[in-house]
Amino acid sequence: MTEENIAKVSEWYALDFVEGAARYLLDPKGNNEAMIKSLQSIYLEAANLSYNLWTQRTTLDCITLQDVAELTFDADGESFKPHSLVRYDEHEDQLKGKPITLMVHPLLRAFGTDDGKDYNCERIWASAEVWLDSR
Amino acid sequence: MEDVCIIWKLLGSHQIHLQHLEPSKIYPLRESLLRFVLLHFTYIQNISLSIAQLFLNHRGPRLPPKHKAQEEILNPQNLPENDRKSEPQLRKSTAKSTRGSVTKNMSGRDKLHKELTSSSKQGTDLIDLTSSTPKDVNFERSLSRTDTRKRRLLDSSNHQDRITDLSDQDQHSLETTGRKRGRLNRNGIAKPTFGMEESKDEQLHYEKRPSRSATSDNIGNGADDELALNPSESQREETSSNAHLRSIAAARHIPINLMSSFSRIRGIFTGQTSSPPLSRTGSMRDPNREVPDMTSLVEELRAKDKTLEKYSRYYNKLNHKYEELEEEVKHMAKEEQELERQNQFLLQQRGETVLQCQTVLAEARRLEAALSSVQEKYEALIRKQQEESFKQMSTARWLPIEDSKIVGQLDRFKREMRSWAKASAVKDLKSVENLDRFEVSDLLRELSRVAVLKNGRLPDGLPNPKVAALLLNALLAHHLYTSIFKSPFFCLEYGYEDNVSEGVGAAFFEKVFQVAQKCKQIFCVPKPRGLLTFLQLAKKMHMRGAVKPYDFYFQPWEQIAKKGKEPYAL
Repeated sequence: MTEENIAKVSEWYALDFVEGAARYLLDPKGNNEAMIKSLQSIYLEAANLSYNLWTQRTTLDCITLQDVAELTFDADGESFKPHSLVRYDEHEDQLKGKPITLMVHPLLRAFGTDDGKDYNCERIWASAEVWLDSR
Repeated sequence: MEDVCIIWKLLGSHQIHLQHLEPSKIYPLRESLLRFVLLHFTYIQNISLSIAQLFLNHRGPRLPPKHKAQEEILNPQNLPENDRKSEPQLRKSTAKSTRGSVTKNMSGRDKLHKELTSSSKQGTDLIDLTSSTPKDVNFERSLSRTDTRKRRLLDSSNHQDRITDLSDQDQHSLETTGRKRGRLNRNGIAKPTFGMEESKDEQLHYEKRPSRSATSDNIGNGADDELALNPSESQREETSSNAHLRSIAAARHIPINLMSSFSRIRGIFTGQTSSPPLSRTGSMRDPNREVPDMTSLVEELRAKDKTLEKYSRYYNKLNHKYEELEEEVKHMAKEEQELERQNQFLLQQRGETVLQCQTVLAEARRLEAALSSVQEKYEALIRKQQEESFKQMSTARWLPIEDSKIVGQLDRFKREMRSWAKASAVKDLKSVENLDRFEVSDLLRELSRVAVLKNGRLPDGLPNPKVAALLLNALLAHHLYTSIFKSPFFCLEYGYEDNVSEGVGAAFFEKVFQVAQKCKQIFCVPKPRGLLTFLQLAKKMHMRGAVKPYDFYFQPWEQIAKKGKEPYAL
């Protein structure tokens, strides 16, 4: 039942995304069905992985742009990584401390171990990708 | 008298034979010894016989012979054959002349010698007879009569109770003996006394001897009664016997007065009626002499006997009582020993029980330790079996996943989303410009979740050809992470969509999860008054009436904390 729910939920979330405001950015000339299946596959794998992670003793924390206020760029930090479109090598010194204007990928952190210990220590499972004007 | 006592002790010790004593030491004491023997002949009859024999066997201090013929007469061994042969004939003739039926062909000396020999054979070991004398029937009869008299006298002296059982003749004999022996002690045993009373008793005894001898002979031989009642024949016999003794005394140089005393001893020992003892005055019987009142003496003695019997019965009762008490004491001692033994047994059992309990307790502890060890092993085995069973599952989603794999999968999702956005996004934002105002507003509201908009406009500097794919990627990643990874109950959103109003869907579980997370934070923070679990805190707050149970599910934690009035300080 859980697996079925996960599959249905993942499909429903994929459709929800496609039918949402993101549809204004989709290419109308593309293969809509293949795009949806591909997206549903991504949602299904992500749902299975999320289910597995939440059944463990570790705790997940997802941080989006709304969770942080006036987030600034710090190249030395491991949590926020510059997107590939950011010219980091050219403007490395100029980017430090500038406000982040776009979060392409949210930050995913984990707390605690499989033995139920060390909940005060965080581990970064997926670093955030940010974009900022680097001109 | 002191010397006599010493000799008496020596004799009483039964260790010294009289023959081993020096005659020179004994001879001066003969008179005293004779008196002592006469006084106490009942006790020392055998010993006195031995003394008498000693006197007969041992000659006194030998005096130089006056005439050879006289010495030859005195020593039969020195006599010639004819004389030796004639001596028994002479004795025989003498015996015939005195009364052959009384002495039974035996002279006074031979008879006394025989009786002494028989007495020594009967009991005493003090006498060592050297001379041998032929036996005959009459001699044996005299022995039996002597023994009978001795036993009766001893019985009468040692057991006063038998007095009443005796015949009158025996009583008469006993009375005479009792008076002779002196006082009776408490136990009925005659106590010999010394002094003037003994002299009187001795005199009385001498006077009563003929009747006693006659009584004894009446018991032993009834044919002698006539002889005893014939004083003339007795006097004749006594005269012949005394003459014979005097001849012996002359031959052995014994004083005549000592021989008279010895004749009295012989009369006593032989018990012959034909030889009445001589009185100290030398007369046979004095008709003018006052005879003591024997009846009153007998009555007095009987009264004493009754008193003795009374005390004896009382003593027997006391003795019986004492024996009963002794038996009771012994019984109580046995019971005490039995109780002591039982007590020891119970103590031993108690010690054994304690040891057994300690052993059982030690065994229980050991078993408990073994049980805990087995329990741990069992839990480890169960855990291992669960892991094995999880691994056998197709998805194996319950097993912990390594961080590197998780990071790798998340990176793969990141790349897939980028690829999908790049492939699915519009090539240019010119299509977005053709949107109406509501659609643009809807798009900007969605983009505001991932980008910082300024005045409703997108950030500056975005690369134009890749802006759509970048924005679509950001929207997809945000949607996927917030819908799938943000909540652990994302899978319940779809199935319980209709029951959201009832609080049973993902929102309900999300509230519970948030409360649990807060509880975990409280539990992890140490407080001065101790750590309170979430349930303890909720119970305290509910008892104060500030917080309702359902508040934990439908109200934010901060509001609950405010209602609880410093919940951390509880």
